[in-house]
Amino acid sequence: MARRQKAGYDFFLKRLIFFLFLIFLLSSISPYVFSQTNNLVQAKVEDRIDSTRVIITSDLPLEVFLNKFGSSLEVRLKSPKSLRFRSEPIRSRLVRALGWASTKQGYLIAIDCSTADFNYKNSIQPEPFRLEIELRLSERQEKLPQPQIRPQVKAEEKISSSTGHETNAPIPVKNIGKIENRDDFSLPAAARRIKTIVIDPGHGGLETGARGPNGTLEKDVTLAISLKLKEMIERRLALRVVLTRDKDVDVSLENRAALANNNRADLFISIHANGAFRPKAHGSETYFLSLKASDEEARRLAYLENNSPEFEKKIEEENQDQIMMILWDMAQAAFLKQSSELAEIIQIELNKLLGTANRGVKQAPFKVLTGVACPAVLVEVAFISNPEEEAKLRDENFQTSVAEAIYQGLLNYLRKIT
Amino acid sequence: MKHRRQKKIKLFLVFFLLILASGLALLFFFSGPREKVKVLERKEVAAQESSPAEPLRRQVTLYFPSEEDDLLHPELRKIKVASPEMEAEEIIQELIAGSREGYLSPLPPQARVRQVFITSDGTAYVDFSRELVERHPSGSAAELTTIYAIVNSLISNIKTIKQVFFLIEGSERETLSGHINLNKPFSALPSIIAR
Repeated sequence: MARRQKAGYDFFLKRLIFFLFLIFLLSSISPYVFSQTNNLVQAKVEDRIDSTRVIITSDLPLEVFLNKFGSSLEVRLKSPKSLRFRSEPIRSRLVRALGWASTKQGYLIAIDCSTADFNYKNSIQPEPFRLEIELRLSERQEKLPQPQIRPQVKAEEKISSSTGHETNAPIPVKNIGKIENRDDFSLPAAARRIKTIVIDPGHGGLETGARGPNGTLEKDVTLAISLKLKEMIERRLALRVVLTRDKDVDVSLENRAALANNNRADLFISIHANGAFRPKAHGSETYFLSLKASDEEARRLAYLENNSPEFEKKIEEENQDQIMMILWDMAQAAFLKQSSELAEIIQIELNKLLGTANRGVKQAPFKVLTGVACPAVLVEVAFISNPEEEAKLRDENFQTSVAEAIYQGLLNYLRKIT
Repeated sequence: MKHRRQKKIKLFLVFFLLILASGLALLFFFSGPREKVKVLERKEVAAQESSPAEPLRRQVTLYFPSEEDDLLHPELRKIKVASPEMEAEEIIQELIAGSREGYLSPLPPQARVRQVFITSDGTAYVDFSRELVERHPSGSAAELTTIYAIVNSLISNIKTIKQVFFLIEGSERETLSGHINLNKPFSALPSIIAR
């Protein structure tokens, strides 16, 4: 009996060693085995000048059926073997996403596009399997065969073409390649109704901001001015005003931007009082964001600058959802032009109504402005570090005139864009 | 007999596991970013060798804010010739020590540089003690003055530095006191320099 047990034990040990060896072998070889593109379907999306190309490749010969449903194009694949799918990251004007699913007959790739107005052409190469689908916006083709379209559709088109260009921005992607006169920014801006203004009283809570020589705190001054400004706007204009804080509390800079974006702010005004090393520094200035662009961001910025009319319309139409797709870090980049206009107009009123020295409109990388997805400015009202201006900033009448000046600037901006 | 055999097998098993483990350990320790470590070591040695041996000095231009305007004013200094990191540290120490020509200090005197590290792409990571933030007078203008006095002084004097990233006590910080974004590196800003 004992002998048999021992023999069993030996056998067990041998097996264990064999298994360990096997595991070792497998682990060393596995990267080479599994990285082979067996049964793999690969997809990539490329933007061309006036079209978008989706390229699907595989080692296996596949049968393909294409079908368009609204804004998505379905590619059905028939294959006897099971398939795996891999897609390169998608950065395309037209294609939003690629979906992969297995069905009863085989597999399905859904090409999800940002609009239903496109048509497609495809070419298939059997071995090795390569399917190229060219997606093209149907704007140009639409115009030529117009007579063939049923009268109802034509009427609809007439409406959209007569009103579309002046009031409602057309679907943004249509405008790619057709750069309009860069001066008529006001047209799409006018279409966008300003409903919500977010006012951001700088600092708060433990974060006191600058401190005047006589102990006045920046956070108190900014809150007082902001409350007055909120009241003025609500009383005189039918606009919604949201404050990032309405009492002496800490709010992080990112949460301030988030609050503006979540409230679908149409304008963002941050209010601060300045502080400098030299006590003599005085005057008021208005900032908008400057970006230190990384390479990736620089490319996007270049794109924005070259296509600003198109891009602004994009924001009109698709609103926040589109904006959320831009990195929050870059949210403000799309609004720099409007932000600079708002800053200019507010600065004029500060000079006129407040009598503080004009320090002009400036650009700096203010943290609070970076994530705001609407025109955004930061007003630096006078210097709390200057004893004379500190006294003014404490004065309620002066605070009221600051609010009045910013209100006038805001009003002039609204008049200008509508 | 059986006992011996069993022992043999056990020994073999232990031996095998040891080899496996040491093989994995070798892989783990030697497949990492070995080159980086080498570069670091070399730089430290170079710095140690050059600094005590030669009291060679070179002229640099520091930038200080003034009582009269919002610009930064140049002031010449001589610093010890050393590695870019050491030179950067000395430049900042000179800025903290303050002007000899009556300009204002762009940094709180209590602030200290903890370390400067320059990456191969020309970004200088400058790590300050917490006093830079705690003793800072705050205000947008003051923040911009501090940042660009340091950035301009470093970039204009040390060729390998193209941009400057601020760290406080070894970690990233959002702002100095609620205004200017420190989560991104700064390039030189020549427009703020008085001519």
